[in-house]
Amino acid sequence: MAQNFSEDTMARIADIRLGCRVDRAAAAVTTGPVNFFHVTGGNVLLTGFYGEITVQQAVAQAISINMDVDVGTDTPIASVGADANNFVVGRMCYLPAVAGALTWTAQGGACPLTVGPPYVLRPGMIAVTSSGSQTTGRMKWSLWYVPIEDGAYVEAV
Amino acid sequence: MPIYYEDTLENLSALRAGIRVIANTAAITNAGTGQTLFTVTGGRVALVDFYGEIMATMGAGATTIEIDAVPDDVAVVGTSIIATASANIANFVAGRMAYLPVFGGALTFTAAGGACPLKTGPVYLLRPGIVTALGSAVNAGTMRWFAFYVPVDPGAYMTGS
Repeated sequence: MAQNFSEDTMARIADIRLGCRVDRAAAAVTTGPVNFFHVTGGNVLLTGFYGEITVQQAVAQAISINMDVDVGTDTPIASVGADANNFVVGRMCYLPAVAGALTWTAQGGACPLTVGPPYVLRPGMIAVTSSGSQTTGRMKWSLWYVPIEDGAYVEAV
Repeated sequence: MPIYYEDTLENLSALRAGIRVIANTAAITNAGTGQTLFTVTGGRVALVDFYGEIMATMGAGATTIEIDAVPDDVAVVGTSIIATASANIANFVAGRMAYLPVFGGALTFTAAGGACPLKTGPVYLLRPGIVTALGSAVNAGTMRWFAFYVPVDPGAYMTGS
């Protein structure tokens, strides 16, 4: 039996299955560190994360991702990845296994969202650092999460 | 003992496993990008579960299958291999099933036909395009395929062939 759901229903199924999605609009990645997402109100569980090139990269650029907590010691989520210079539109990056480098897909059809473990994130900023600042290149980012403390949520910065 | 209407069961399935789409039973092909199993339209989706089932016993010729994600802009960015070539499936009987491996691994077939794991690989983000089964050769044996997904972008959806 074919399943026909309204767009709104499908979006809610996605929320239940993957977690709440937060999108960060396409922008140039600069040396930073630049705050991308804000965790606030309590701890959350990061259930998925990826970045996607929307305009070809044109500058040498290796990216790492840190959790810069409000209180306590910052934690790297992904160490420095490969240089993304000249990477074409559609290539994507994802979080690796624990303590690994931000990892890029070689092509643009599919990208794993859950290679790394689910991360408990304490309040603070998911911050991105790069070895170079893009001029024309652009990337968009999405993450999925569920709150694990009442009132906790994530917003794009 | 709970008794549910069929549509309730379908909805529970969608919530738990993702929205199900089915690719029609077809023979294995090595033409072009292979058999188009699913089409992603309207935006990105997340592939949460996937499996295939042999419906008619495979022929005797050596055959492997890989699963690819071919984006609409493949000429620019290339095809992603979701599962590399399987073992030779010549003479595999009806009922044996295939599932996605851990990331970077080969499409994996069950040794028997009673059960098949649905989740050994990660959830995959798929960009608009097609998901294909590319055979290493033509094989008259047939398979049907199931994908379970959720939309990422508003209005995004998958359809089966």
